Amino acid sequence: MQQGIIKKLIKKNEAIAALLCIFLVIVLTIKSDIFWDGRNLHSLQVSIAPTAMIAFGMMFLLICGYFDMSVGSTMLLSAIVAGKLTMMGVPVPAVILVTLCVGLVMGCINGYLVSILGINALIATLGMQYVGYGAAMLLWNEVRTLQAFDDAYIMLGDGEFGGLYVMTWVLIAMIIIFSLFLRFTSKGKSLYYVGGNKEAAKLIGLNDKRILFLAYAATGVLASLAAVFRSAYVHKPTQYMGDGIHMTCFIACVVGGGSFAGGKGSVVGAVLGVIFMSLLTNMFNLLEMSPELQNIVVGIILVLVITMDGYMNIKKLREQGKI
Amino acid sequence: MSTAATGRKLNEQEKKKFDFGGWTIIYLTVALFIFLSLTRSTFCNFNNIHSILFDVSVNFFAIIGFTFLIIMGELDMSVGSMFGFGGTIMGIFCITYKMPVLPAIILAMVIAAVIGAVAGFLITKFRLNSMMVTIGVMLAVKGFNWMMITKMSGRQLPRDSRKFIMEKIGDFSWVILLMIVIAVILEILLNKSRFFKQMYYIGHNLETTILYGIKANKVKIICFSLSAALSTFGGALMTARVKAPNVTVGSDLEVTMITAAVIGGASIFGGRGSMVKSLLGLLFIYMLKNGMTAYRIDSYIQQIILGLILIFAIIVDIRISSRKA
Repeated sequence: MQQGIIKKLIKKNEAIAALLCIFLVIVLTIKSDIFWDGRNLHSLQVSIAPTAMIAFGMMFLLICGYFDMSVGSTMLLSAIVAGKLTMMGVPVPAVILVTLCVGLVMGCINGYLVSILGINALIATLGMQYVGYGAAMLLWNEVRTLQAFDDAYIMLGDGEFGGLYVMTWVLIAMIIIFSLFLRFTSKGKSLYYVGGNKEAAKLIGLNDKRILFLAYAATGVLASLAAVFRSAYVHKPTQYMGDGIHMTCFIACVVGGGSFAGGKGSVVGAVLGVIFMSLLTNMFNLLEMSPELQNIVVGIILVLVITMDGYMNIKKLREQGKI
Repeated sequence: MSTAATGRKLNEQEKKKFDFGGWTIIYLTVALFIFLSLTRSTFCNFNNIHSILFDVSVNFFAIIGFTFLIIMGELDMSVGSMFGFGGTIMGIFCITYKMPVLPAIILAMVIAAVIGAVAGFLITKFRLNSMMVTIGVMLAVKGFNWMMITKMSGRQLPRDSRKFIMEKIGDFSWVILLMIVIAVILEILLNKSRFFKQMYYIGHNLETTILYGIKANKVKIICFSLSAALSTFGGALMTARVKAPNVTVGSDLEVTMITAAVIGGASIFGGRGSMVKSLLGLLFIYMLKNGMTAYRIDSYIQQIILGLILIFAIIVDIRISSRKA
């Protein structure tokens, strides 16, 4: 009986991600004196919350069997547009609204390219990554001189409530809402149908293209939201915002149970994956390992995770007798 | 008998495919050349053209394996970092260990070939998405490059290990002549040789080729390995040219490669592609970059334009492929 439960748990990817996190926490507790320090925990919150928001979008896409490599430049562009608007003296609510629209536009373009035109997801979103980065850098020269956002905007990043940052509370709310959305609403469940078996989903009358388009749009908006929180925390837009975040989110989602093949994944898994990646970065910083080494490790983890995913998929296909 | 028949039939299909829209890249390149020569006085002089050709020829080594892979429907995103890897390894051996340049380059190519073979093995064995795996390789190799280059802290390569790049045959650098010879030979082989024609069959229909006894996985692993090794070679040449290992060598090269191959008529769905046209695609991109710089267009706008060209080329590719189907 007990073995049955353990076996079931191991089959759950979320459990594996949680174990990885616990392992890292133990390592960090032993190896570093300042891991449990208040400031370190704060910096962990700031690194986890925005990344996890993007990871939700990425998870929606992965459940459909797609992904988005342009979130990094969406984030950068959003933060820089927010800075530009602040310099023009636009009131804070309008700044936030327009910033979110930037993400919406980027997401819709991605959605149009991938789902309506049918371009390979990696190439379309990589192309958009370039376009977005170029556009952001064009604006950057004008925003460079901005000293700080308006105070009300900064409150979004610096504000604390009951010991946790505002963005962490938003994250917790999102976890609950999106979990319920995926599990209990028909829209949420249709993501799994499209990812699991596209043809069958079409046959039962789901509009797979529209669902995918909406998933891309949502990813864009979430990336902008993350940019708002993140840029509010650092008080001004920076040139390096969102650098490499597409890879972090992607790996996090696959660690947390998403799969290339689609049809799999959960919100909790995405958060656990992000926590794992953030702890990993934290470990590199606390143990003073060179930042270049981090790139190597992330690359190797990516290959490992994808290989595991591929192995599982092949095994599943073998069990179903499709190979 | 049946294999031969199928082979001939497919070949005819291929030929038709090549005819369709096949000349676009040549028109584009010639048109761009004429436009730039007419509007910019600095464009059409020997030094400028030679420097464009040199850039193209160095990058051409990276696109050889890339074209083979794209013909088979796979993408290698690690070309850029492998390109930088060549320079890094060359730097380590030539600067730190005082090795002569030729063994250093060969050693770098061997190491790269092994990495490429491992990636190829994982991709074929577990049926993984080649782009994602090679992105992993890209991140790891890029991290390695950064780490090593930071350690070498801007030291230049020894003079005798970089002067070979300046050798010229007649008026042209030997690299450019080598590029032209290799491109022509490979183009002929792709159209005539049995081994190379296999790639088109694999890209067209993997299952059928396996049924006919073509060892698709083996061919793919060889090509991943070749792609890595040749990119490394190109990167070593480039590094010798810029005199010191540098993190910017080979950065963002993969996007240039996809764009060049696709405007050169290759399809990301596999089954189409040609070596000379990939070369022309590369020439087109580098001429465009050169021209945009001559027009003093901001480098970020250049980036946007290249991104848009990539997306546009892919859309055209999809239109062509769906019309074929």
